[in-house]
Order: sequence, then structure tokens, then C-alpha cells
Amino acid sequence: MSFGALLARRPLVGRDAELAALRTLHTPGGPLVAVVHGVAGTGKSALLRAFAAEHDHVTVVDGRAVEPTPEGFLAAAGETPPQLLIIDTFERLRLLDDWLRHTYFPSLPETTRIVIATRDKPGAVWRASFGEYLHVIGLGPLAPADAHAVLEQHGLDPQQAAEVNRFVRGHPLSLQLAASARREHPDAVIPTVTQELAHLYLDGLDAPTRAALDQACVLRRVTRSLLPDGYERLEPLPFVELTPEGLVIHDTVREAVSALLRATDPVRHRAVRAHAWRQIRSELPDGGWASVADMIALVEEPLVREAFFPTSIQHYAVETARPSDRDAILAIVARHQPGATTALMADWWDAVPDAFRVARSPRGTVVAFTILCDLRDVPQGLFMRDPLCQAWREHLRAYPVPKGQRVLAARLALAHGTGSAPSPCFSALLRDVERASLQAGQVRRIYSAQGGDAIDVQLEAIGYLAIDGDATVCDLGPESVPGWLSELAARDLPLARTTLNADARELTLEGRTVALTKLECDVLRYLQEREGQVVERQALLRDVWGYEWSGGANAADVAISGLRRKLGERAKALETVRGVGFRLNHL
Amino acid sequence: MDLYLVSRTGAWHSEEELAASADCMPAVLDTFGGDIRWVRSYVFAEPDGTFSAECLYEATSRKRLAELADALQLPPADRVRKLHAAV
Repeated sequence: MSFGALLARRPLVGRDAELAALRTLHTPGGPLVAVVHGVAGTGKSALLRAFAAEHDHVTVVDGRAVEPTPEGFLAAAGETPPQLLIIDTFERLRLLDDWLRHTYFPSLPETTRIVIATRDKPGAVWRASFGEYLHVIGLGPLAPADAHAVLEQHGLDPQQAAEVNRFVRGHPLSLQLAASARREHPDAVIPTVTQELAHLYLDGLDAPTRAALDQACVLRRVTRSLLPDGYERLEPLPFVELTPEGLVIHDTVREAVSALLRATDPVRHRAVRAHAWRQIRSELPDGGWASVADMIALVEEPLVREAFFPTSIQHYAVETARPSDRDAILAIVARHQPGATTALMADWWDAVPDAFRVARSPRGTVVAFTILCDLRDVPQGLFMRDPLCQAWREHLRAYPVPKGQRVLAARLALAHGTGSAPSPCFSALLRDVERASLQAGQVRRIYSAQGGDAIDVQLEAIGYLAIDGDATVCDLGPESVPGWLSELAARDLPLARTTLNADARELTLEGRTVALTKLECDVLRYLQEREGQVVERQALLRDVWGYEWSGGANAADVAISGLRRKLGERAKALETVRGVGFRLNHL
Repeated sequence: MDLYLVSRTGAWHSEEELAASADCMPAVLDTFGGDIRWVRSYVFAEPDGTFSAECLYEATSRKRLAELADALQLPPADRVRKLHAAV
């Protein structure tokens, strides 16, 4: 039985006052939204489960299992407005904060009540949004009598319980770990913090379980396909929870295990990450958001990781600009780039106001802005007036993108206080641009402007290159966002890479070099340019063999068969899509 | 560089605003080319729920301090006093 299932069964100890506070949601004129906050492992989820058990019609959304987009949230919450909506692990949905407060919550019926569990105390924007309808409940450690009761439930005698609680001071997860550790090591001196307790507990695990935990600690979630040998072993551990997406190891323990492995055996840590990468890579074509999120979790580049899994409180809310923001935006431009650029930005505002995104201070003041849109939405007039647009167009002419792939334009980002120099609000904007780009489908390329050394270094690390006309470009590759993320995650990993050297007509596969004919090389390059997409047989013949080709359509099949033979064990990556054509998955 | 004590009453409406100001301060100071150094701030909770602060800076001029306030989007200071001595 999983920890989650056990938790659901066990009685809630010592949270009577907090439960009573939650029940005020049902008193006439009472609050509409309750936010339960507290540090990791303090029992927020257990409190929510106990409150949910008192209701018949409850919708529970777990932030760990939801794509942090409005569509993802709506899919998880369902179409029928719930009487009680519970959102657990809300810190994983920080990116939706603005949309939830301004759009989703106000759309719910007046009878709906909302309970949220999160690590951080809700900020001023929440108090401003909900006023007296918001009830904030801080969850601290358990009182000594309650902590003793929990430990005694786990089989410790009163004297042992008192001894253990003297160190863990009522922190619920620590109580769990301490009780387990105490059972395994009756003579051990119980240390003081959760990480230490985790180490003590981990020392008692058998070698295969410990190995499985090492492998799991680099994963966002554990599924049977990601960890076939370890899943069963991890399921019963006292810090592993079963969620709709798979097993989730408690953050505190996962970080402790990962840090320990990275510090003591960096080679194995990289090998474990490489193993995870291969498995996630193979699941990416059909895995949807969950697999993309798995890959993001392997990316070490902070700008990308923080965009999706922010680790700290974000003081600045980033949202689409409102009509009333025009003057504040233009004032920021005038402050840093007076003259022609200010006039140009006024033109951009008039042409594509929806492309403007702003970062707001807690009081709502615009502190920074950026412009991001599909290049097709930029009107012709701006291409004539804006030299940067002309630089983008020149590059696009020289290096066109295949049909069906999108090109985004990120025109300018400026902060009131720091211009384009790095700052917290500017970083919030960059993360927002990164996130928006990743969420737009089939993005092949993002054009932007050079922003000074400090920013360019950050962006270069995720693939932005300088081009003529003070512009920059980030080409995500034929597989769009999933392929680009995979490349970022693969950095520094011991992976044998696949490379096609078209000049030498050589394919390197897992360190093995395969010679190709000119035709095979052309076909493979064409398919690699469209990796993951179905390529029609006629399109392949037209573009590789040429318009004048009048031979039979099976010429393509013959060439594909030849390629498959040369791909050896990787032949399955080259699929025939019946009645249509072919698809090359990642080699 | 001289030491200045800058007073602002009720300038922040929440702890979050204070945290955001403090968070931004190092990045904004970086753009001042060493003309200002933030020594420390003393924050007071006012009865009306706002926060006030007495902030100690080293700066080359009052003008630069005013520019810093503008960059941080803070209201003008109630009082800026140049310190005579610290004893």
C-alpha cells in the first residue's frame, strides 16, 4: 500500500483548530477562499484530505499533476463547477496565479468554496483580490501531545516518543521519518533536521531499493515505464506518494538524495540522469505535457527550469498588458531608449497591443515589459519602419523554416529601474517569454534583439545566437520545443549522440560510423529536418528526387528499406505510416 | 562618499512590496556605477498596516539618491539627512 493510501486512512492528529477554521467556509458571509500554508512536510495535504472527506462533491487538483496552463488546469478541474475545489501543492501552479485570480475563480458559481495548500503565505495581490473573503491558515508544527500521539501510533513507546520529538519538534514529515528510522535503528542518535533523518532512514534501505531511489531522485515523477525495476520497491516507502501521474517522492527527500549522489558519486549521478534522459526521450513523441515536463526537470539551465518550476516566491506578476498600461510602458522606453525607439514602440503598441506583456509590482505598477508575438502578426508597416524586423526578415529569407513551423518575435524587454540589465523583474519577464514560447505549438524559431552582454550570456546558454543587425535568433530545431529541451537536458550527459555528416555522407550512431549513399543521405537529412512529423511519400519524392522524377513511387520505399538496414538496432525509429508516407523519430 | 539617512513613512503597503524593493535593490544599484552603497534599512510597521523605513546609504550626492528612488519607483523621501558623524 502506498504512503498516500496510508495517509488517507490514518486519523488526522492535532489539527482541530485548522479544520474548524476551514469549516468557516460554509458559514453564511464567511470566506470564499482558504489558503493553508506551511513548510514542506508540515501536513497540509493531510489536512486537506481530512476536510475533503467531510464533503460529497469535491474536486481535487494536485499542482504536481497538472500542466501549468489554463487548458491543463481546466482539464484537471473538469467542466462541472465543483461545490468544493481543493488545490494541493499550489506552489507548482504559481504560473497560473494571475489567471486563477482574475479569470477562473471569478467564473465559478457563488456557492463554490476553494481551499488551497501551498508553501508560501499568499502575498498582497491575494489579499487585494479577495479581501475579507480570503482566510489564511498558517500550519505550524504539531503540539507536543499531538506529536507524541503520532509517534505512538507508529509504535514508539511514550519515552521514545518524547525523546524523538525533542529533536524534530512536531514537524509532521520528520515525525514520520524519525519513527521509521527509530524502528530500523533503535540505538541511533536522532539528528535534528529532516535531511539528516532522511539519510539515517536511507542507510537502512536494502541495496536494490536504495539504487532505485537514486535513479528516481532525478525524476519529476516515477512511472512504471520510467523506472520498471524500481517502481514496486519505491511504492511502500514512507515519503513516496501515489499521484495521478505516478509516484512522487517528497521534495525534501528527493533533493537530499539527489544532492548526496551528486556530491559523493557525480559519475553515477550523470549516468542516472542519462538513463532517465533516454527513457523520457523515447516517450516524448506521444507523452504530451507530462513527458515535456519530465524533460524540463532534467534541464539544468536555470532560465528554463525556473520558467516552469519556480523555486522562489515571485514578487512580480507577469500578464498581458492592459490598455491603461500604454503610458507606463512608453515611459520605461523613454527612460532607457529615448527618441526613435520610443516612437517605434508606440507604433508596436498601436499595431499589436496584445503582444505586450508586463511585469507588475505587488502594488500593480508596471515595472517592466516585453513584446512577444507570432512573426506573422507583425504588420507590414512595422517591417518597413523597424530595422530589427528587417534583420529578422533577411535571416528568414536566407534560412527559411519548413511550412507549418512557427516563428516568434520577441522584440524588446525593458525594466524601469535597470533597462535591459539583469534584475529580478527582468528575469520574471524572460522566464515568461521562455514559457510562452515553449507553450506555443510547433515553434521552430524565436527572433529577438541583442540586449547587452549580461543578458546575451544568459540567452546564449539556451541557444540564442547573434545575427546581423543587432538581432538574435534561437532555432529550436525540427522537433520544436521537445527536441530543443532534449538537447538542453543532454548537455554534459554521457550520451552517445547521433550525427549526420552530410558532406562525408556518414552517419554516426552510438559511436559507430555508417557510410551512406548520396540518395540515402539526402532522404535521411530530409526526414531529420522533419523529425517526429509524418512526411508524405509524394512530398519526399518531389523534394528529394525532384519534380522531374517520373519513376515509381516505390523508389522511396526502396531507399527507406536500405536506410533501415544501415540503422541496425535503431531501424524502428524510421516508421512507415501506412497509406501516407514515413516518419523518423529521434535516432 | 557621504552617509545619508533617508526616511520614508508609509511608503510600502505590504511586506511583499518591501521584499520586492529589497529584492530589486542590488540590481538597480549595479546601474549606479558605485555612486551609491546601501548600508542597511530599519523598517517600522505602522498602525495603519503600512510600513516605513529609515535607510542608511553612502552616496556621492542627494541627487543620485533621488535617482535611485526613481529607479526603484519609490515615492520621494520625507527627509534626507546627511550624517555628521557616527559615534
